Amino acid sequence: MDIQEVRSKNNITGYQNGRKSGQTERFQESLIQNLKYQDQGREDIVREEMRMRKREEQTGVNVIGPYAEIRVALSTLTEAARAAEVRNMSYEESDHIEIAVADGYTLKGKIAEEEQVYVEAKYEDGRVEAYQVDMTKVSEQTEHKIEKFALETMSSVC
Amino acid sequence: MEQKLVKEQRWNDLAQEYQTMLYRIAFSNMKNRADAEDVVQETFLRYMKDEKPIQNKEHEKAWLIRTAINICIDILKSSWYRKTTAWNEMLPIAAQNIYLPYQIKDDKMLEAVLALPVHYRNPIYLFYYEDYSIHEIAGILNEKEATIKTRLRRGREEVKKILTEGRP
Repeated sequence: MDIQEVRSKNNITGYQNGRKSGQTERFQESLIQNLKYQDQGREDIVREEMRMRKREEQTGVNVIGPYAEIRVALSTLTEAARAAEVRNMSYEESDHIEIAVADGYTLKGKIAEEEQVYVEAKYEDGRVEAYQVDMTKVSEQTEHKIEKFALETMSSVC
Repeated sequence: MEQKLVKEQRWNDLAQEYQTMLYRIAFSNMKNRADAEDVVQETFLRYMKDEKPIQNKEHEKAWLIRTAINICIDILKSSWYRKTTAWNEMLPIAAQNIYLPYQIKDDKMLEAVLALPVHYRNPIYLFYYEDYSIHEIAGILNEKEATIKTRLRRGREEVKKILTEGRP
């Protein structure tokens, strides 16, 4: 029969990575705090997304990274500004143009028919999009980039 | 004799069609009228000397623009030119004297474009002010479309820097 050395409870040397007193409480506390911050972060993101969407709807302008570019997605087209077929109109043919080098786009406008303005947008990535704007449906106070440009085209000719 | 007359007529037509556009491109690089005019003349001279048949109108136009830009780059690189020109002082006047065939709202923007280094300036000027597509610019400058896209993006960032900080 082997002899086993039995130590008293107080003499047992603790495992160095073992749980220490108060550690669980601290861990729980920091976990709750992290979760709280995470929720707050999510709320901030949602709030920012909502703000952006609202701005996008108002102006048709979508801010991508630090640079503002007009990207008029179908969702942001208004009742007045409808997608149209690209004609590849030249500057000479246009009634009004806007060159926005710092924002990465150019706009060309031409009064098409009565109360209709054709707007062509060219973006830095090479995309060209066209819109037909019904001026009877455009408010003078519009913040929508394409509608605003169509108004400028009208006033540049008149 | 008749052949010579036909040739002369063709050169006249060519000059009529492209001289203003070539002048603007040369001006955007040289930033003064006299040099820009010299560049246009030299471009037409080279075209006349070059007997190679041009495939089509687009090819012809691209050839002329490319040649004009190359002549500008050669002049700008020459040491005598660098010693004699103070570009930055001339920029506000240059922006007004480029004679674009349309009205622009913002001369400051054009000034900033003219202040860009040549590898950004030409793609940006051709894309925004002469309304060329990325595909066309790649053909004119003999570069890949991806390169032109990158230069447009970086050039735009430089323009922003110039507009906000006043220097590239």
